[in-house]
Amino acid sequence: MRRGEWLRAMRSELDETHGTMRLRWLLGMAWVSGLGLVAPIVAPGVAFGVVGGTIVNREVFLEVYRGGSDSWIGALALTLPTALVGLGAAVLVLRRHRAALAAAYVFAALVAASSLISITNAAPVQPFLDDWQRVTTDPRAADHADELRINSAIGAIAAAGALLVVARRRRRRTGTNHRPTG
Amino acid sequence: MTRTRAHSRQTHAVLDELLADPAVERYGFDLARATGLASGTLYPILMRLEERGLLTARWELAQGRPRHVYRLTAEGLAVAQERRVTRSTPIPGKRALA
Repeated sequence: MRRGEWLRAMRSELDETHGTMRLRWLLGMAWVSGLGLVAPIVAPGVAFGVVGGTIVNREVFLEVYRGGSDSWIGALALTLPTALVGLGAAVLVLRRHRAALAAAYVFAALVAASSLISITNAAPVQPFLDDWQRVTTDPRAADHADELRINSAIGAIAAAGALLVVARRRRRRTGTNHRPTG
Repeated sequence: MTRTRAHSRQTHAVLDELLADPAVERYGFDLARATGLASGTLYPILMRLEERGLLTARWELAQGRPRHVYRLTAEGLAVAQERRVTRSTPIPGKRALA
């Protein structure tokens, strides 16, 4: 049964409420309605974040590439699989696919590993950002490199966490993670 | 297949209420009054129970108005009864509070 049907059921009982009870009933309707919006907002949000992050960081990779260094390959090998898995997991969660929760866990694991590398400034992040600071014309390259490392890690952790919560919640609601038929 | 999972205290309250007279169809506001649950807590529980096949829901006309009514399915009845028995069984080795 669709969420709209449940909201119609709640609406049909609103007339029986009075005073503060009516207000609480309306708040309940808003809450139930809002719960239905979490997944449709979070999953595309993660997908847009992944695509947007790739577009924003594109110039950094291109500058290192044009500068003649190969360090971009290691950085790309670290970020690309995570981004692709994140994109795939977001689509699976949105479609209530049976593999959605597993994909969300894989995405979270990849994000945890890459964020640790990024925050600790270990290889391949450090040589990549060192090369970028060497070749870029950005006067605040050192600050921007740190921002890139930390902000990317925080954003990825937030996205993976939100997606995991939504995927777990969807699985808990359906039990098998299948869209009900009929 | 329905997974077995520990239900929350609120879910137990709803199951107990529906189990009180399984043949009678109940509606949301009635259940909210009986259990003391807010609608924002009650309805997600009803939705979850329905999705797991433990509850049936249908529309009926009551005093000329459409009303959504709920009843435990055979599986829901079995689960609710099993949970009630499980909860009322004392844990071995645990002393009752005097």
